[in-house]
Amino acid sequence: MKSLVRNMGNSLTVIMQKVMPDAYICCLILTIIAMISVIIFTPHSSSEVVLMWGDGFWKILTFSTQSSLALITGSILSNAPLFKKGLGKIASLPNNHTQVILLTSFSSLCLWYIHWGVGAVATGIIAVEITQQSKKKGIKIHYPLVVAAAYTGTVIWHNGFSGASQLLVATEGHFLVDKIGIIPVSETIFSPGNLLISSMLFIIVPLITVMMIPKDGDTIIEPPTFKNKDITSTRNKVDSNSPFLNFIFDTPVIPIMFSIIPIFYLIYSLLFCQKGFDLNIFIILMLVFGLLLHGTLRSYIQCLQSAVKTAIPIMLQFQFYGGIMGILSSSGLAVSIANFLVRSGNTTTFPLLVFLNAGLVNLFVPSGGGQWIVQGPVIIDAAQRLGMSIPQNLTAFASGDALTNLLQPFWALPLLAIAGLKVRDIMGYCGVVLIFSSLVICIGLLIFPYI
Amino acid sequence: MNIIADLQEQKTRKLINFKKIKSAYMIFLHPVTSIFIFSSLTVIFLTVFRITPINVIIESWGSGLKTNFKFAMQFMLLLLLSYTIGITPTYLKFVRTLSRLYNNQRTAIIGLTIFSSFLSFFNWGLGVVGGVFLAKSIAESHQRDGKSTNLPLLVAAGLSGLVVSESGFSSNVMLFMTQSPLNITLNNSVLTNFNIVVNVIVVVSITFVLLLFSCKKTDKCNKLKTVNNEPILKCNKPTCIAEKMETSQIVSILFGGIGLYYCILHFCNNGMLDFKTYLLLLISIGVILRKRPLSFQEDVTLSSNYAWIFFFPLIFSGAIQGMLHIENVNSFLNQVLLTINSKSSFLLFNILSAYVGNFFIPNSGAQWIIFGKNILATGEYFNISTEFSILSFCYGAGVVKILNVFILLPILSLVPIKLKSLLKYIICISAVSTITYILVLLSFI
Repeated sequence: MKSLVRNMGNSLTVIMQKVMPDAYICCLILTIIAMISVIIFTPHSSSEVVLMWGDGFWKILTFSTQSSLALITGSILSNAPLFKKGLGKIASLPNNHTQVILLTSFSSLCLWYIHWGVGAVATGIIAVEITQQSKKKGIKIHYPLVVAAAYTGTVIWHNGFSGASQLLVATEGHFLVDKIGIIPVSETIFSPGNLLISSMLFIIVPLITVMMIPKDGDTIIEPPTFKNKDITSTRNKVDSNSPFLNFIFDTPVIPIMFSIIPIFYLIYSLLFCQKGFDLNIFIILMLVFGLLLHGTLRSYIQCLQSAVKTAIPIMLQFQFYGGIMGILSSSGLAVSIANFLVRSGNTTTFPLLVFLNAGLVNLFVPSGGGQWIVQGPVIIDAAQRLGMSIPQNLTAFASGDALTNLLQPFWALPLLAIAGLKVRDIMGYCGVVLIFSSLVICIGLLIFPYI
Repeated sequence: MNIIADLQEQKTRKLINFKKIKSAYMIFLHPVTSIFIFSSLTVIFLTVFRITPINVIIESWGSGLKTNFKFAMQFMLLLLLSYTIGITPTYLKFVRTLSRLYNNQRTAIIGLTIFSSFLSFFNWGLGVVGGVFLAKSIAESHQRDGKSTNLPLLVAAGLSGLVVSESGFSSNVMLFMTQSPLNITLNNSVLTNFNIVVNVIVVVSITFVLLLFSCKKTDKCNKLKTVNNEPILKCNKPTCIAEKMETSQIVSILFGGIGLYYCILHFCNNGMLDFKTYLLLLISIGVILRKRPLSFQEDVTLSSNYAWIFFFPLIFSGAIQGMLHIENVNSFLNQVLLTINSKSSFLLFNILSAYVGNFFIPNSGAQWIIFGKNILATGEYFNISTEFSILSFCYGAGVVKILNVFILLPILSLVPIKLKSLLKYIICISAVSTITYILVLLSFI
């Protein structure tokens, strides 16, 4: 079994290295595929499709800013000396390659389960830190596999605490409330079926990833040498001629003074207004911790430049995905795909078809919440006609949506920016995890009604 | 062909030396520092003077921050894409061919000022980055011909487009206003007769002043180190489908073509040139003019070496705006502006406030986010049209932009001169254009 999985990993990696271009090119190609599909399968002309694309191009500007900020603030925090020290202690726990992979994979699953924003950014930081600690200890690791292990946690995000569709249907006044009412998270995220699927993924994903560790004698790719971002070293220090400016840069007063505002905002939002943990709260948390742990503006600003540079692919590529979403939602193709698949289902196969449908559309519309808004009504209608459980089908949708993130470079952008790899370096391994995870999820969905 | 394209693009990137930028924030207050200090002082001021309860301040800080995310990203993309357009290898190659047209320093100054200003009116990256590169090419050409050349003066002429850029199509404020509820189209702001005429007068004034400098024979002529043939870097031919897609010019043309097609359709459907369409136009042109599709993203990443400084100021200016637009704070600010202004002084105040504000928040978009509403409200009170209020602010932002080291130094990375050698010229350009704008505005009041 181990050699089968390893061979699958190696073969898929070789194939991906040859056929999968850079994430930026991937989004261009997905755009063209989406356009052609809409022209073929819907009664829209090419001009209309191009207009839909252009109009949708800027629809996720706010989200792209949030994602960029999450990456930037998280990246700055990861370079804070105190944070590096603490993370370094955890990252230095593994003593061999297997333990490295297990720790990375398990951490990734936990982080993605807690919140997708945390998972998208923090997994990269952890992967790099674990890699650096392993290098110090002299543990030979296959770097692309470690980074892939850091990414595979994405398969569980939509079953976790930040599951977009589940949180949406639990919100008062949601857009489907007339059809299904409010479904509390106890029936979705915390349902026995969903918890079973999550538990199985927590076991199977690290296991499969470990099985892909190259055997002795196989070629391994060692991690690159990460640039020393030791802010305190005199080599990196650039002094001004002005004592005033040096004071401004080196005093902790300004970072502390500025941090008070977001700290108060966090206390006010979380405790007094009882607002939920969302991406904005995550960004502000990272900002506060980053400022306080760096301690001085000199240290903070010196990390800011490289942090912004790593976020550039997100700033650019997210807009292209906005265009793709614009095409699929405005043309009705996403709905047509949903209709086609779910009509052919029965009470046994319907959840599997929902799962498949969500996975397919997710390749083009990588936003879980956005996808639910487009396809949710179709799925709910069909489920009600068949007399099926809504929570079960919601879990099927969520699982399918998350699963194909393993092939969709969109969510890997922050991780790859930090890790310094290309998408084709990790997708082969992610493909193997996808195959085994989909088997596990299908079993879970079939057992769901009986738990 | 792809190997040649690769080499051209590598050569362009080698031209840019970003080491100079580090020195900038050792001389001036860093924009990130400024925005942190400004935010803190705003909260302290509002709390100490008990203008509004603390929970309202904090909530406004948060909601202002979130509301502004979209605009901050648009401004950031404008910065990145403008610079990226300016360093397009095909464009720089074209600019280099223009250098042969200018046989002496006088014609070069006239040509550079017009070139820089005209193109900057459409996009500052094209005008200013192109202008500086053209200045360098002219200097190299003159040096080869054994003619004396004053490179700092030529570069200053190349930079002069910065002055008019803030009242052109790539102006942060003008583009921002196309999306505001007031829906001020570029026709009603950039393309007004008044704006075009006043900018022409400014360009003529700048040219005249720079020509006066060119009469001086005492200026030292900098000797340019000519770039000898660089070693040919070996570029590997693409070996697999993935690499072929990454280097295929067809992908660039296809994708850039789709973007341009959208823009054509948008205008044919009576759509106006707004912020989003302008950005999409820049992306499409940037993609289509690059032979390797990946080059576009690489060049945008390169542009971040200069634009990163502005990201946090853009983000947190929204938070400050949120606090300053709490009801009684907003009224207080409006009252202050009305007290210190009159109908005749308001437009001048706008110019000066943009001028002074730029030293603390060196991005007109960020400044406008914070104070724009108050400026428009005050203008409305004095029966000054919205367009005039905006234009006067933009003129102030333009004249100070040429003095902004955080904008200048990355552009100067293209030429081997120090900022010190440029100072007298850019100060004169800024002074002359300020006086011209003020005189023209005064004549209209």
